[in-house]
Amino acid sequence: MRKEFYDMKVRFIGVLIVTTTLFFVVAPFQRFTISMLEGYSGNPQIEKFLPGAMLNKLKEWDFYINSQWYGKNFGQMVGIIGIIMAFPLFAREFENETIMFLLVRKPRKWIYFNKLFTGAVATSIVMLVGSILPAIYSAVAGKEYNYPVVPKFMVQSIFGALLWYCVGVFFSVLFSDQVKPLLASLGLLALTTTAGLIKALKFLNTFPYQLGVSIFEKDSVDFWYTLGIIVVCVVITWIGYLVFERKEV
Amino acid sequence: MPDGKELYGSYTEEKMVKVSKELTERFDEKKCVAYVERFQIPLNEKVSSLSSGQTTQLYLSIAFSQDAELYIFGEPTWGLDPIVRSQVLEMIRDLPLGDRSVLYTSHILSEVEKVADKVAIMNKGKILDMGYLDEIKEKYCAVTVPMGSEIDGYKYKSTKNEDVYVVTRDYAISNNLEYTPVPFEVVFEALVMGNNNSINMQ
Repeated sequence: MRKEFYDMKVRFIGVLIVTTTLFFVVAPFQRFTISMLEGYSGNPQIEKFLPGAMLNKLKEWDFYINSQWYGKNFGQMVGIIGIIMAFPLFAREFENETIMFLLVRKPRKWIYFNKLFTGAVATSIVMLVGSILPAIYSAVAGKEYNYPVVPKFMVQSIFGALLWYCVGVFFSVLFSDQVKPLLASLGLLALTTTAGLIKALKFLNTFPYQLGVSIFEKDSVDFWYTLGIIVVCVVITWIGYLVFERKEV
Repeated sequence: MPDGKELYGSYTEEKMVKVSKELTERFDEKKCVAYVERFQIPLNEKVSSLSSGQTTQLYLSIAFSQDAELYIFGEPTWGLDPIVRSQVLEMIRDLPLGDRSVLYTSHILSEVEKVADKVAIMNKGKILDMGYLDEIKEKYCAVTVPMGSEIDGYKYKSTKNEDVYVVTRDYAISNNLEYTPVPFEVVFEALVMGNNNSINMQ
């Protein structure tokens, strides 16, 4: 476990820094954003995408931070963070041939699940930090904030990231260099998002879940989608394990 | 210890030892550090900055520090200078005490002769002969026959009028052939080349 954390230390800290920096690019600039958007009022092109009512809602801290953080900046990164945390897990060991060092010391099952769980924990920590930042900032800055919404966004962020983390792990096991799993995972993310534009395949687009659309609309976690993600994660993880167990090194 | 001795380039030697302790059962960290120091490898440098020989020495230090029942070494002296190679062979020779055994694979037969009690000669995935080193050397011999004579064995070389064959000592005695002992390298060559040319040496 310690070795795996050590291996992903740079990625983990890097992603945390990017997430935190991004938050501080969004959170303190509510007034600036609104004044900038108000400057465009009267412009029919802008009015089309940002009606006056929306502008007024952005003046509320709750709506501003939830929409701009969970519903935009952080929410869009959730799947990509999952992929970034996953893609080198196995592929780097294959590429550098260090997998032999592990295989002569530990059973394949131990190696697979140890790597998988360590990465999953690290990914969840990043999601937890990213999800809790609005609450911390609101408390420190003395803003009035609807705190009960945080755990709901947290759940959707964590499971949204874990889904793409599992996909990344699967490709990491499948390929023997680090570029292919990254490209394959990002390609699949793009493909499912595009396919989700078709009404019958709407469920393939994971972005509405990651961005917390159900929380904005119904103030509740999308239970069935979460359950679906858990099932898909278990299936992908198991297939990944079977591939790893049979993989020639 | 596999043929390709790849370690984690981004770790320092110290970190590599600690990670090995985490991953390896019955691993003696102090013993490993002692081996690393004996090989004069700096503990605070990155593995990626080590030469190929030093990487092999670090790998060997890690392997030697595990209390295992069976040690498997694949070409463990590859990339080592002659002095370190002798040291390593001596260390390997000292490993099989008590219930411990060593399986050592190599193409360098002089090394095999130094470390092995029992040897197995393999070719194309098939064990051609196996036994104590002295027994194998005893089992085969060289005979000189007039050129063109057909006998069961491996034709090792030819002179102007004669052929030199490597045959089993039993064969030489039963056929009243005058024989001379052969070194292990010649036995190896005869068995492997004989196997490649499907010559019966049994």
